[in-house]
Amino acid sequence: MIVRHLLAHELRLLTRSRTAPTALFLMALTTAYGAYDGACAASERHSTHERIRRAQADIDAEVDRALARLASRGDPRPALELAGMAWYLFQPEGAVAPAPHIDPRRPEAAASEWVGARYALLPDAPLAALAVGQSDLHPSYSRVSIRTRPVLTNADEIENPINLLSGRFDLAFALTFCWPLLVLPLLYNVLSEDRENGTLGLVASQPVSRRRLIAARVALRVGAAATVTVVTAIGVLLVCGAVPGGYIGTATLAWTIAVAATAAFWTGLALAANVTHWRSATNAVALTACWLGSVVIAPAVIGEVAGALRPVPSRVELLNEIRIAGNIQSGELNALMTAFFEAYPDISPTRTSADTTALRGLAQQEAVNRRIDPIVARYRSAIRDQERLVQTLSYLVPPLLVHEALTNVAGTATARCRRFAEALDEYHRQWTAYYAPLVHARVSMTSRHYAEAPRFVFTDDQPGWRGRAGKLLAAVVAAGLGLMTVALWFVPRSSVLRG
Amino acid sequence: MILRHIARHALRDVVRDGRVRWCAAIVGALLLAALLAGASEQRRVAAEHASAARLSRETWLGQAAKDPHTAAHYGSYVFKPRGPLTLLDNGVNPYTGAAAWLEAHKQNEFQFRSAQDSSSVARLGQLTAAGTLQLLIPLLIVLLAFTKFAGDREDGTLRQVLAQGVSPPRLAIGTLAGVATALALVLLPAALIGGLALAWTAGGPAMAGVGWRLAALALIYCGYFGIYLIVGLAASAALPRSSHVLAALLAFWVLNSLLVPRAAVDVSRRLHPSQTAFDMSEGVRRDTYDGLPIHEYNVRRADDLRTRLLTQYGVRRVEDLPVNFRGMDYLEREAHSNQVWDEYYGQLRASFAQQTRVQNLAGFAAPLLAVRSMSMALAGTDLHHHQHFADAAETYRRGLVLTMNSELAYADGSARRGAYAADTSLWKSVPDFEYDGPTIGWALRHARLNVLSLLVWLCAAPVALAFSVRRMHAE
Repeated sequence: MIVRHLLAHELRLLTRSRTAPTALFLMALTTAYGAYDGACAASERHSTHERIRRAQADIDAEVDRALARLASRGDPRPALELAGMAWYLFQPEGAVAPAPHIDPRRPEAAASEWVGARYALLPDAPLAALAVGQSDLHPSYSRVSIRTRPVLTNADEIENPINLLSGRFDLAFALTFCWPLLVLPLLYNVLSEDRENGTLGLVASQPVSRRRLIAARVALRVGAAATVTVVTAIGVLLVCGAVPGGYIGTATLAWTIAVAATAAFWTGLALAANVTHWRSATNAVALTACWLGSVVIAPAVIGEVAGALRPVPSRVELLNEIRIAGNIQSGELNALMTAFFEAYPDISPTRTSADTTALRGLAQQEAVNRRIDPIVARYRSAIRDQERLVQTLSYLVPPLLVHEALTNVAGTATARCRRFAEALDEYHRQWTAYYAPLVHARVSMTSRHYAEAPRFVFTDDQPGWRGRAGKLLAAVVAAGLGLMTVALWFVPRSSVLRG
Repeated sequence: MILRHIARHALRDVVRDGRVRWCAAIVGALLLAALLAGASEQRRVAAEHASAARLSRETWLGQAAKDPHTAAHYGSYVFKPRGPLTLLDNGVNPYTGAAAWLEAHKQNEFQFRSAQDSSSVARLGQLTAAGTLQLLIPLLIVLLAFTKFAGDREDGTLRQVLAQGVSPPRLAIGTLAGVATALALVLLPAALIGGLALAWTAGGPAMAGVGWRLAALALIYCGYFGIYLIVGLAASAALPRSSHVLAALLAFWVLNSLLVPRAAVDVSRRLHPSQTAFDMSEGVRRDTYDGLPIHEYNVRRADDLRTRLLTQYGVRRVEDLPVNFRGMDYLEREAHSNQVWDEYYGQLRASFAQQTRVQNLAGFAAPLLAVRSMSMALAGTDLHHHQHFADAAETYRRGLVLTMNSELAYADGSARRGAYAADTSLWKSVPDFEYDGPTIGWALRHARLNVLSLLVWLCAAPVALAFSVRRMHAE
C-alpha cells in the first residue's frame, strides 16, 4: 500500500518535472525516426531486389525467345571460323545466328553474362527494418557467370562514401547511442537527489523495504522509457508496413528484449553510481563517461586491438597474389591444355575455333581456381579469426552486444553479408560444375538445359544466427541484472540511505 | 597585467583539477595511439600499393605476344596513392576502394573497400587522429570549460572577482586564454609526435603543398577547438548552474557529433537519391546497345560499319580494306561506350554532389560536418580527391585502350581478317600510370561551403560569448 502511495507520488513528481517529459518525448522522437529510417532502407533494398527479379525474368524470356527463333529457322549455325564483329561483317547477307559468344545454343555463352548468367540475391530479411547494419556496405546481389568468380569481381553496391562514413540513423543506433543518453537523466539522481535535498531520512523512515522502494522507483522510470520506446518503434514499423504480417510478433519480441537488455544494463550502472557517496552531478559525469567509453571509445579500441592481434591481409595483397597466380603464360597454356585433355579423356580435341576457345577458357579457369583457392581460404580464415576476437572483446562492452544482436536479428550483420559472399562463390562453383560438362560435350542448349541450371539458394537457418542474437542479449541482461543485484545488495549498507 | 593574472589563475585551476588531468591523459594517450597506429598503417599500405603498382606494370609489360584488343581486355590495375596526411585523416578511403581495374569497354568502379574487411564494431568508430581531434578533444574542452563561470558563481568567487573591478569581458578573455593554454599543454606534445610520425612515414607518395596543407589543417582544428571553447564559456556564463552547463554542452556535443551527421545523411539521400549498381549496369547495357538485343544490334551495326568502311576506302570487299575492320569497330564502340559511361557517371556524381551539398549545409548547424569535410579535403582523402584520382585513372584507361585499338586498326600487317599479334614493344609504348594530386587551392575551392560555415561559427561564437558575458550575473 505504502509502495503504491510512494509510486503515485513519484509519478506526480515525474510528470510535473520538465526532465522526464522532455526525455520521453526525445526518446519517442529518436525511436520513431530510427524506425522510419530503417523502414526506408529495407524498402529501398526490397524494391531493388524486385527490379532485379523482373530483369531476371526478362533475361529468361529473351533466351526462350531467341532459342525458339533459331529453332524455327532450322539450324542456321554457319560453319564460320569467326567470332565477334567478324562474324557479322563477313556475312554480307546478314547473320541469322548470333556470334558464338552470344549464341544461346552454346553452353559457354549460356553460362556467360552475355546470355544466361543469373542474378543471385541475398533474401530480404523480414526484420531488416530494425537495423541497417552492414547492408549499405556489402552487396546484396550479384550476377554470377562462368567467366568471373565473384570473389575476384567484388561487385559492390553504389553508395556515396560520405554516407557510409557517417552511418545511418536506424533503430539500432537510436537504442545503442541515443537511448542511454535520454534515460540517464531519469536515473542518475534516483537516490542521490533525496540525499542532496535532505528528504532521504523521510524516505528511509517509511515502513517499506528500501530495496523494494528503490526498485519500484527505478522500475517506474525505466518502465515508462522502455514502454515509450517499444510502442513507438513498433507503431512506426507497422504504419510504414516495414515488417511482414507474419513477423510482427517476432519483431515486437526482438525489439522488446533488446530494449529490456539495454534498460537492464544502464539501470544497473545508474544504481551502482547511486549507491556510492557521489553527488548527483558526479553520478551524471560518471555515467556519461561510461556511455562515451562504451559507444564511442570502446569500438575504436576493440577494432585496433583486433587488427593488431589478428591482422587480415589487405585486399590489395590478395589481389596481388591472385594476379600472380592467374598470370598464365602462353607456354604454360599449351601444357595446361595437354593436361586438361589428359584429365578429361572423353573430350576430343576440336578444330572449331569457338570450341577451342571455350575449352581453353575452362582449362585456364580451372587452373587459376586451383591456384587461388588456398589464397582465398587463407584470407577468409584470417577474417573469421579477427571477427571471433572482436566478438569476444565485445563481451566487455554490453552496449556493443545489443547493437550486434539487433543487426543479427535484422539479418544485416557482417557475418550474414560474408556468408552471402561465400555462398556466391559456392554458386559460381555449382554453375561451372553444371555448364563445364555441357561445354565439354559441345551440347546444343535447349530451354530444358536452361531450366535445369542451378538456382542460387541462401538459407538463413544456419546454426546460430538468431541463437547468437539471443545469447548476446542474454549476456547484456545478465550484466545489467548483475549490476542491479550488487547495487541493491549494497543499499542497506550504503551510507547514502543513512543520510 | 590583470588579463595575465586571470589567465594564470584559470590555467592553475584546470591543471589542479584531478578529473581534468585524468581525462587529458586518456585523450592524449588515445591521440598518441591513433597517431602511431595511423603511421604504422600508412607505411604498410603505402608499401603495399607501391608493390602492387610495380607488379601491375610488370604484368602488363610481361604479356606474351597477343591481339592488342585482348591486351586491352587483360588491362591493368591502378592503385590509389596514400598521401602522407592520410595518417592524420583517413577520410572516405575505407569506403571508396583502393584499386581500379582498367580494361576495355568498361569504366569499373573502384574495388576493395577496406571497410569491408573490418569487423562490424569498427563501423561504429575507428581510432584515428582525426576522430580523436573531432570527437574527443571537444569533450575535453567541455570538461575544461563548463565550471569556469558557473562553478565560480556557485562557489561565490565570481562575485568577489567582479567586485574587484574586473570587467566581465576581460574576465572572459583571460579565462579563455588560460583554458586555451591548458589545452595546448595536451595538444602540443601530440602535435610534436604527429610531426615525428609524419617524418617516419616520409618516403611514400608525394603530395603537392603538404606543408601548406598541414598548416591549414592545424588552423582549422584550432578554429574548431576555439568554437567549442568559446561556446563552452558562453554557456557557462549564461546558465545558472554548472550541471546545467554540462548538460547543455553535452547535448551540443551529441547533436554535433552523432545526431546531425547521421540525420543529414538520411535527409540528403532522400532528397537526392543515387542510382543503384544494378540500375547503372542495366542502363549502361541498354544504352550501349541502343536498347536492342545484342545480336540485333550487331547485325545493324555490322551493316552500317561495312557500308561506311567500304565507301570510305573505295573497296568492294571487307578483305580489301587497308585497315583492320575489328580495330575500326573497337575504336568506334569504345568512343560510344565512353559517352555512355560519361553520362551515367555524370548522373551519379551529380547526385553525390547534391547529397554532399545538403550535408555541407548542415555544417551551419553542426560545425563538425564543416571541419570533417575540410580536414578530409586538406588530407587529400575526401570524395573530391577520390574523384580526381578516378578521373586520372579513367583518362589513362582510355589512352591505353585507344593505343591498343589503334594499333589493331592501323598497324602494318593488322589488316584483313587474319589474326594480328602485337609484342612487348607495344606494351612498352603505353607509359606507366603517373598521378599528380591536386593543389591545396583546388582542395579549398571544393570546400568553399565548409569554409563559409566554419567562418560563420567562428564569428557567431564570440558574439554569443560577448552577449552572455555582458548579461552575466554574479549569483
